[in-house]
Amino acid sequence: MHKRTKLAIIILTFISGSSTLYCQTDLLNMLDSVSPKETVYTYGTFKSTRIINGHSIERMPQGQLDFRVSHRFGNVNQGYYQFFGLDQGSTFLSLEYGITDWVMLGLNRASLEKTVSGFGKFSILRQSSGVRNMPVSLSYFVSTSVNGLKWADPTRTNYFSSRLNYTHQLLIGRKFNEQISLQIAPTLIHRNLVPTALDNNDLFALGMGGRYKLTRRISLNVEYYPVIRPTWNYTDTQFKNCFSAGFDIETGGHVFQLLLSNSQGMIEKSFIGETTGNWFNGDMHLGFNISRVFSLKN
Amino acid sequence: MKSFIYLILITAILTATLHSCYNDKEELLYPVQAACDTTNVTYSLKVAPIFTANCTNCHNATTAGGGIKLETVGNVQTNINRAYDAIINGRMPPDGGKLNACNISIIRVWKNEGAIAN
Repeated sequence: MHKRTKLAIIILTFISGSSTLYCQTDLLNMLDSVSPKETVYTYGTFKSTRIINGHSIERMPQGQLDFRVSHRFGNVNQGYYQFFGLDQGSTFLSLEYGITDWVMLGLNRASLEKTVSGFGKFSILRQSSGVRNMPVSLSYFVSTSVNGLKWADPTRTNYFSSRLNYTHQLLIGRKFNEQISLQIAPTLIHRNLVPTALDNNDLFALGMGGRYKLTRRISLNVEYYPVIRPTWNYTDTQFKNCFSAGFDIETGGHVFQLLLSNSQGMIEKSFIGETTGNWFNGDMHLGFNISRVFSLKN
Repeated sequence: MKSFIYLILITAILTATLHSCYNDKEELLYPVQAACDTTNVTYSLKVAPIFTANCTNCHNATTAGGGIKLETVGNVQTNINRAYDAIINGRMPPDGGKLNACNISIIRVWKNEGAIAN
């Protein structure tokens, strides 16, 4: 064979061989991307365990204790004499602990109606992609609150059960991308004692909230809790739906939430069922939540 | 074992919340209290006695707790929104119980009718 022909055959064989090899690696890569070997969980749907007033799908990881301090000041529309409401305020203190990565328990005290409440939050589903593809995160929240006010009329037969209220919530959230997360929260609140026969002991609401990440440390949060009145002859029209907006500011181990809300209450029974402020009249309250996380796990 | 403990924990919480549920209505549970007359609400007849019994001990011309006076009809007219908000949220009175539903209704009716000095 001619020397030149031999060389051409060798070069051709080499080129075709290497391209076959390249194609094989490419196919393997494609196969890898089509069927990944692990589940990738979505983290940081919300910055903290609350969107503003209401709970988010987030919970404390195992062994982490969250100490929360929240304030809601008086009505902003009171003017300078009351320093736009800052001269009064209601306080909320809470300790919340992650028993496991899917169970969080908490105990808190709100100055409004001197309420003590305990809650549990259970992560049922976690948003993930990969081997296990789950489009949303789902948590179940349950709480019992005890009104600590003295009896309005101590001379009548009062029952401890009249102090109790319960909340059940399904929190369904999705992180759409690095910027946007949304959540809906079907809610049932049960009050053991209501004032009149026309009032319903059960109250249904469909909470909705979202977060838009502005920078690495700051996000804008909005939350709305429309109450679905079970009967339209509900007499008590003084209560409004709770609407809140605020910023999450992350600073090291703290999450600082600065907000405006038409509710001064910070537990579900108060801000969903007993909000009195009207945004259009300027009846809103400036407030903040501070979250400080401590690690109790060695 | 751990899962078993958590299962017991969840069951205990659910049992506690579901078993202590009542559907009480205050006006039916305490029928005497239900005789709440919210017709012809005037300041002098119905509203003033509530403020005198529950508020003016602190909110008077001498002490004016929180800068708020509730002694005269003029005082109450000026501060009615703030006072009503504090009352229905249970912030006031601070050491007693929340005002009963009937008293709150009377104040609400008077406020909604324009808080007139009548």
